[in-house]
Amino acid sequence: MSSVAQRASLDAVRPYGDHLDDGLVQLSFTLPVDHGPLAREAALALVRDKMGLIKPEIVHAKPLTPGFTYFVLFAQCQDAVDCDRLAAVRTATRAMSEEEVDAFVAEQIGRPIVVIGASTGTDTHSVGIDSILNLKGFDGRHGLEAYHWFRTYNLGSQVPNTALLARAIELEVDAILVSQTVTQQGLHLHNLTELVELVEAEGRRRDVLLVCGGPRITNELAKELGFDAGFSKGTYPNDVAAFIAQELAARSTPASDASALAPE
Amino acid sequence: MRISDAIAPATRVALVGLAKNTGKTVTLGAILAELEARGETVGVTSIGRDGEACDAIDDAIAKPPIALPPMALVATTEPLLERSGARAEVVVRTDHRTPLGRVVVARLLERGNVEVAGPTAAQDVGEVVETMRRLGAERLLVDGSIDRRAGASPRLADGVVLSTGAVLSADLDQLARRTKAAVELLTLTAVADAELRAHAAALSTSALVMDDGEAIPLAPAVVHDRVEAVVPLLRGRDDVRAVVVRGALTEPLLDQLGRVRRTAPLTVITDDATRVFLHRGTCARYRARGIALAVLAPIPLLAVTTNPVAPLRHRFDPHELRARIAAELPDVPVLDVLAEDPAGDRVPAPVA
Repeated sequence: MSSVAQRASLDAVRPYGDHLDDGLVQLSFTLPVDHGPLAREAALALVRDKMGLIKPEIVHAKPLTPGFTYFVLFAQCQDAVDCDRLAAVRTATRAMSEEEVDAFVAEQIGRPIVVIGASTGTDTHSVGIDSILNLKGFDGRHGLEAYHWFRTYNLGSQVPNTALLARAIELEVDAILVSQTVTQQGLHLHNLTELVELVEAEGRRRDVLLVCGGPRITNELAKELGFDAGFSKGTYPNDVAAFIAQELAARSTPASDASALAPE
Repeated sequence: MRISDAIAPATRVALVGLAKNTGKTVTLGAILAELEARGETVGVTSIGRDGEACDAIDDAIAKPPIALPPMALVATTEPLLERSGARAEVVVRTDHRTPLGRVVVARLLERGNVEVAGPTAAQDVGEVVETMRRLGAERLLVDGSIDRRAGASPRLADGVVLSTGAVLSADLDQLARRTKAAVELLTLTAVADAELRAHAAALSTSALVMDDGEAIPLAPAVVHDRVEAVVPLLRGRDDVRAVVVRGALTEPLLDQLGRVRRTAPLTVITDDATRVFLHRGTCARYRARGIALAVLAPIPLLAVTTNPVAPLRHRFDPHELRARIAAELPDVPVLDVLAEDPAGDRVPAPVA
């Protein structure tokens, strides 16, 4: 049996169901309609006429409580995404394991990297920052505390920005990690921008990496907020460590082509 | 009056918003269109990211593009420039790294919509602005992001356009109050006494300045965290003339300073208004407690723009909102850049 799977070209990526490019997707949702023919027709119409999918098929329908029906459907997506275009705005951090990060820091930086982290403001969720910083880490991968070349300080949750800033200055940290649950209404955005502005007001923005993480945080949002990177679901401690190590190394040795290309 | 008239005195203009979706990009678009009509060459950068197709938090909110004319200079990241598809010549590759790639300075060779994401750190912004000026930009526009004010620093900008809008509150009175408080904070005035100003500017650390000119240094930990340690230093000392904070001045410190009973008012001095962080309090509240905030470098406020729409939520009547904010801010041009008559001051034209 061949282990080499046929791969789609990355400029037109479609969902994979049974075979390449069949575009099959599975959806699940609840409609506030009693279980019955009308609810089924509503589910099909929604997927076919409003979601832009074709050939919807109900594979599971179950009454939840009176007035509500839960559905699972298959349908076909006709659109594709161009991964090359998306990749253009991804930062070029090379993936590294814990051991590789430690070896990289030893060689390229030659001193321990000092990192401080907290969940700031009124946010009580410390699970994100804990999983990145604490020894235990998550999913079998150690947190930064376990790394030989990292010194970590986890201030916990509900930490005021001012307290985080004061400790960061005292410890002369290389990076500040903040985890934050950004809501749809952007309620916690102000906490994140305030930290950036505080560091800037102290005249230290160039001396410290600012990294934010949370379920809704993307690189795009991180850039708007004024952070150097944003991490979300699917990120492990070694990804954050690799970014910090590589970024610090890159900043200490400016790229050679940082010059005017045209005569002035 | 139009927005280009309001910004005329400033070569380097910073755009600052009071929140996300207050209309910074629309204001930038109006400035770009008017300056193009005047034949000026512009240089544009953003401390965040601007000109994106949809909101980074709620992608149901569509955002306006940034349309740049031919010959305009722009500082943005290389991948974003490529993605824009506009024909442009990269003139300088900088060292400034962002989550969206490395920043380049480019000259547009044709009209194009460009997503703008320049350097983030103020010092780096200053560098690309200087580069664009050297390359021929006559007017430099530094776009802000969300509610960040760092771009307004007098080191970076000669003047600021502040955007306020319906997104701040569904209550017009509250919107007006919050806008007024933000303007008061942004436009803190310079230390009046020239001698005190010179003395404060010469200090390298935060300090208490006494009547006789002596300076007692304040440790950074006291300024930011163990703020209660400042109280015994001030208690019974009416000869403390001013508190100078080199860096960020925050509410916990101001609250402690407000606790000290004094016969004379206390002046608290920072480099500029972008160093002062208030969330609950306002300048007026601290003034009532005998604390006067003052700066070494004031920020000229060129205009305030009003956006009547809170995306996917509520909206105000555009004229009513503009007029209400204008009434609160008699010394500043208040403009609705999308209105046919942005300042609401047009004399009715005679009927032909």
